[in-house]
Amino acid sequence: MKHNKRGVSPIIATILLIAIVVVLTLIIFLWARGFVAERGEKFGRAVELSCTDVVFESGIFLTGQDAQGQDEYTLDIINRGNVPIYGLIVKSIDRGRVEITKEIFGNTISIGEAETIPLENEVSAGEKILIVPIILGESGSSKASYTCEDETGYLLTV
Amino acid sequence: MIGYVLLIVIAVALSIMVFAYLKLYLPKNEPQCYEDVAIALDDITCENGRIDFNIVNRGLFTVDGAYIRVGQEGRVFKKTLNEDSLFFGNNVLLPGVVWESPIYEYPDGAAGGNFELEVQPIVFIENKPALCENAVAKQKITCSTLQSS
Repeated sequence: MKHNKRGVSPIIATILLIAIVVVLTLIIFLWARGFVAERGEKFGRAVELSCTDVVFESGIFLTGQDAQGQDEYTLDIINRGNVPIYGLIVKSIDRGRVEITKEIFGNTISIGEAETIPLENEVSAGEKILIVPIILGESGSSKASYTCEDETGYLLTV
Repeated sequence: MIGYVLLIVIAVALSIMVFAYLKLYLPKNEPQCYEDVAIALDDITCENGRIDFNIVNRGLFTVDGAYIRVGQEGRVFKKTLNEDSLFFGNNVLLPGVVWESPIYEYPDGAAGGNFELEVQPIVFIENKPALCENAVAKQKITCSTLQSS
């Protein structure tokens, strides 16, 4: 039985291996870069870090009663910090239950600005609500909203 | 030889990835107001829907501007009186100096009642404005209505 012992030369093998390594590295790098870019940025750093710089004061105000005799409230917000607030999430907090009552998007409260937002039959007297800020970050070339953690929120009792 | 090439390429690629990732999480020097900024309100007058007052710089730093807000007592929402002129311009408020406000129109106060006036200072840090959230001066005021004879 005759064996053919000829193979690729050591130089070709080296070039092939280097090429494979370079291509693999490029693929991993591009994949990882995409992963990093998908994380939102704000002011040149991770968007979640900007959440800790959001400073706002909030209050609830009884404006009157509707035709059915139900209390009507408005949510007052003042942005006292240096980060614009893109939106808000109002969460109702009860024993063993947290429920999103209202989501307010695109109504940016610029730095130093005050806003009043009507809450129509969405809250009731004695209820505890948590106001969680949403900020706008950048993901690649597009803008993306980011909802901050509950710890940065403002707890109110109606 | 191949082993060296592989190790170096992998090390460089990993370093770039780790650097790009960590760069996002490094703290950056965002403009933050100085701790020793302090202002006080003085000589407030509120009559017939018109408010005027003095701002005294009681801190250690120059104050470049302020958000002047007024609203119903006990309510968070307040109307900004000086939206068009937030900054003092060339006449920055130096420590110890008193700034006399112009007369601001506040129609909600024309009927009289209890209100709250608040002033939040703004300082420029590295040419960027920074709001001082811990140096807000608040004062409860009573607006009066003078009957014209």
